Amino acid sequence: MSSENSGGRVGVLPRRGASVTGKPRRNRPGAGGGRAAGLRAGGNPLRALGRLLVWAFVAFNILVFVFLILSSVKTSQEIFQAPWGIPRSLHFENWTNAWHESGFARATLNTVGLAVGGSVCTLAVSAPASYVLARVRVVSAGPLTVFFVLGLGIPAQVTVIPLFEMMSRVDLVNSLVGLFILYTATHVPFTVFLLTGFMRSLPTEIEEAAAIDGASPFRSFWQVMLPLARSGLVTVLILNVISMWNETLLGIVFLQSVDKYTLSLALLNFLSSMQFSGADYGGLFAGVCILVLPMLALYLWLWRRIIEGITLGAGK
Amino acid sequence: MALATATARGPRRRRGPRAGTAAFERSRRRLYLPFVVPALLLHLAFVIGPTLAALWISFHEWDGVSGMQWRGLDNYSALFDDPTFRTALVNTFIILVVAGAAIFIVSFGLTMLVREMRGRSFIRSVLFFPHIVSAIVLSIVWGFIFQHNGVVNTFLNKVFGAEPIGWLNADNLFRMILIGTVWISTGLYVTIIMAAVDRIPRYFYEDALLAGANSFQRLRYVTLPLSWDVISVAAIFWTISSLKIFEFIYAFGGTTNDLPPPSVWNSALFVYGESFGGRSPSYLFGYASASAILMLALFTVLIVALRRVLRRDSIEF
Amino acid sequence: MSMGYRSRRRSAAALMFASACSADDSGGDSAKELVYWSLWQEKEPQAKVLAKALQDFEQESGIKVKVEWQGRDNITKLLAALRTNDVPDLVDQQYFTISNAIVKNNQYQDLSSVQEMEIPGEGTTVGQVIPEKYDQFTTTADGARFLIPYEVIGYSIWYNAKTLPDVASSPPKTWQEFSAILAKSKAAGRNPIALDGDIAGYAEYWTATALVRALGAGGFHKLVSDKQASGWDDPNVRTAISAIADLARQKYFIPGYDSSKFPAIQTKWAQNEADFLFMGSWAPTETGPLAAPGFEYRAFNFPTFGADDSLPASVIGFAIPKPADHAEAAEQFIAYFLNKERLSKISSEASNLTPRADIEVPKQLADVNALLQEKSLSKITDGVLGDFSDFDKKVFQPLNLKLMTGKVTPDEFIEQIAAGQRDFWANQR
Repeated sequence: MSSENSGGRVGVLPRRGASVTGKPRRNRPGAGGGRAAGLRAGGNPLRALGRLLVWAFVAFNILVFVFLILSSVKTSQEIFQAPWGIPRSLHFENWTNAWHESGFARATLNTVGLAVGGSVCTLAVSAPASYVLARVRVVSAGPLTVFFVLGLGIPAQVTVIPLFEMMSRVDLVNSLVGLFILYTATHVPFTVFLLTGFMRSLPTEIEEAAAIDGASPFRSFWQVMLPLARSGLVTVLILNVISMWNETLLGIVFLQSVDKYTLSLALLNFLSSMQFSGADYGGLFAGVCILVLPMLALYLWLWRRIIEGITLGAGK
Repeated sequence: MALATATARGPRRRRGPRAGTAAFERSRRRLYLPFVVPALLLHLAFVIGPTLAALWISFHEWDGVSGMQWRGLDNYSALFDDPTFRTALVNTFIILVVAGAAIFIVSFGLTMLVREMRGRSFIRSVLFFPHIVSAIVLSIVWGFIFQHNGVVNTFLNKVFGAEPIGWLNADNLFRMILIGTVWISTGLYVTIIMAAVDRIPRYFYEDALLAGANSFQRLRYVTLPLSWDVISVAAIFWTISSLKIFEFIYAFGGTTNDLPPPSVWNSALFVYGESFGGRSPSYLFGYASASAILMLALFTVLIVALRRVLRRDSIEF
Repeated sequence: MSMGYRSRRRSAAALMFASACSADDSGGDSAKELVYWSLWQEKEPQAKVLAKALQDFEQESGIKVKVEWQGRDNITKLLAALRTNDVPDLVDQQYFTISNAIVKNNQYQDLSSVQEMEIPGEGTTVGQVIPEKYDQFTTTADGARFLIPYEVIGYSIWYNAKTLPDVASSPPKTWQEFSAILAKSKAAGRNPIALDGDIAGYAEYWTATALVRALGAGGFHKLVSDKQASGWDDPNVRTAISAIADLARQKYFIPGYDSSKFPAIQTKWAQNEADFLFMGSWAPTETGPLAAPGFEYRAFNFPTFGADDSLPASVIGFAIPKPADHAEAAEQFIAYFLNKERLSKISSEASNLTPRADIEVPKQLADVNALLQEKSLSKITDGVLGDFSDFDKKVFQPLNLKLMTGKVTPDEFIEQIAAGQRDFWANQR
């Protein structure tokens, strides 16, 4: 009986009195099954049911997505009358309307600029900080890291009012530049959190070798560390892009001009315009697709990286 | 959002600098300040500073334009007397606990199932998908398919001949929000938990099987303890995230400038609803800030307590 | 109220980024420019009418016009702008939204001088073409004028005269007559009333107007402003509340009214799946695109309980924020737009009512217009939606929804609203 791991409370299986001779005990039929999500039993029917549920869940997600795309080329009536039917003709004007008349073209430009630019800036600021916090042996490194991570727990609704006051004093309300700065700054805690953890895990030998070779610390950072950390950097970049792409609360509060809207705001705007110009669900879903498809493309291309990033490192 | 946990994986760091690297270490220390300061400045100016400012504002009455008027702790006591805030507070905790429990149970269950299934990668990707989609979109979609003449009711009617169900009526709306939250978040937590469970070496399970453990016992005595670290970090992450939920509930307000009904507000919506939100905004900035600070304080205490409760001795394997 | 926040100080330690929002704040030449933040979105017909008028105005006066088609939350954004140096000169909205945002905190300009301005192209002044009956919407308690209206909204019960010819020939006047018609409709297997219950304001229209009918104009307003909530004991109140509760009890509302997403129910009504819709005069334009073919829009006044038969109404108009740089230009445009030719496009192209009695109204608004001319006006929801928005949002609307979905009885409603009201006022300071 493996009694692994001192110091750990690995549940050692309770001895049932019988000596363990290596002969597998018969499983008590149906024991323990039906617990929790009802998926624990070794019995096949339950597992089969579980598998069915999993595929149902998967099917649901895919169907939602298919529905979105399908509806985006239908008229409003078609969407309601035949939700799953193929439309008689493909109403691509939904897309062109959204793109040209409802400001989604401009919004896409704004959002791309904010998301990509903001993520790069966040990285530019946070990567060096994470590097030194992870590697330099200074007393303040630990507490400072915690200080950064604290920011993760502060929701936007706490800071939005004072931020507004602050930005308005320097005329950066209703400004894409202002929002850019906000996006960059508010993603620093998360990025530092991720990157310090990641960088701590990287091997020190290479840097030490470089040091012995006479490289300056800066060169070491730039030419040794960064390439080593590339996968982590890319991952966090992608995650930030996604987060900024979908950000809404700060956008709502800080952007007043329609031509500065991000995609989320353009969508909300479209939604509210439906009240007075009629229910145009086809157009709405076209707008939704414009908002979602780039992220989906990013996801399909880089999902491996994204998921790896989520599971970066191991539990301590 | 990602969940990188600080790691002990990877080669052990040497305890002390090797000969010849002491100078390197020293000069690297000089990089410390210039490298940290920009991020620190941004952080202070745009995250920490405003939080302190919110604290200051919470002691005043302020509509954003006129001058601030001192109210001391009055805003806070008013919050406790405000049924709308109490509802928002309760809702926030219901989301935290109920949706959280559901998410973890479902995620765990899915993990255990999906690990053994073919196409696990594909399944995991599809489950994760809602997480990268804007919450506004998800909310619009969710509301759309569950409305009275929406796709779900139509489906139930065609297949089961059922009468339409009022998924979105006042009684059910919050439940639908909870379910929607679970739907969105499950993918992320499945991913996390699956990664943690995947790391557990096979031989533990084999040993357990040999000792006659059934599935449930294997879960309880092998899986759970050995993935506990990641799960506890995920739990804390969920706690933080649940407080921030805003867009999903907000977009249930629908096509007009209205907010969703106060009965489904969580604390984030309360802040918004008492400041900028709705057709006729209230502009109660001091009051709104007080509620935000209060929730932040509550959750900080909660997280500290949670970390304590969840802490176990680390298991090396 | 301190105006210190308007100081033009720029923080030196601030970021080195250029401020992107750089409306020239020299505040100098007030005749050359006009910044207008509209509540309309660019695609809406009113926006097109205004855009044309602004274009012509720019040509004729030489004043450069900059317009933002902000959409419905333009005033929220205005409030944001009040904190910066970038305040628009001209805004428009429903009167209560404006009142709520910039009258209470004295951020509006008194437009009494505009009343005296001559309308270009006519010999009359603004004050002469706008009837006095709209004053209740456009003036403050002290008599200052914060709004010049250009669109009027009347709220009435809409129906399709093609499917309900009997109603068209003799529309109901009293609540009794109305109930009879509802019962008949229900008995014939139809859905009598359409309501998008997820819009709390729309549900509120019913109850608030019933209370106005029972208590007279201003009655509901007075009722909720009472810190002791004593008025709720009035038997007239109970009559009104019971009448509304009865609608739910008799299941007159179309199924799904409590669990749909706007505008699903409204759309159904336009497709003859329900008979009556209590809505503002935008109803025909809003539902037109999806209406059943041949839909004949007719309307009648909300039925009476007693003497009161006022028409619930609202106005949309122009206002000028106090810190505006080019107030004069804004005032000029207001007078310019009220010209009969230009204003009539609100009627002919945007299919809505205007305050000028000499402008022809679209055919489908004939009924409402008749009411507008004949009856006295009361504020929609008796002004409660605007003046007591917090109370409305948190206490009245949720409870009202319960009443209208049969979750509380009239007595329970009265009990709970009174208690809620007392608590609400007790907590306000």
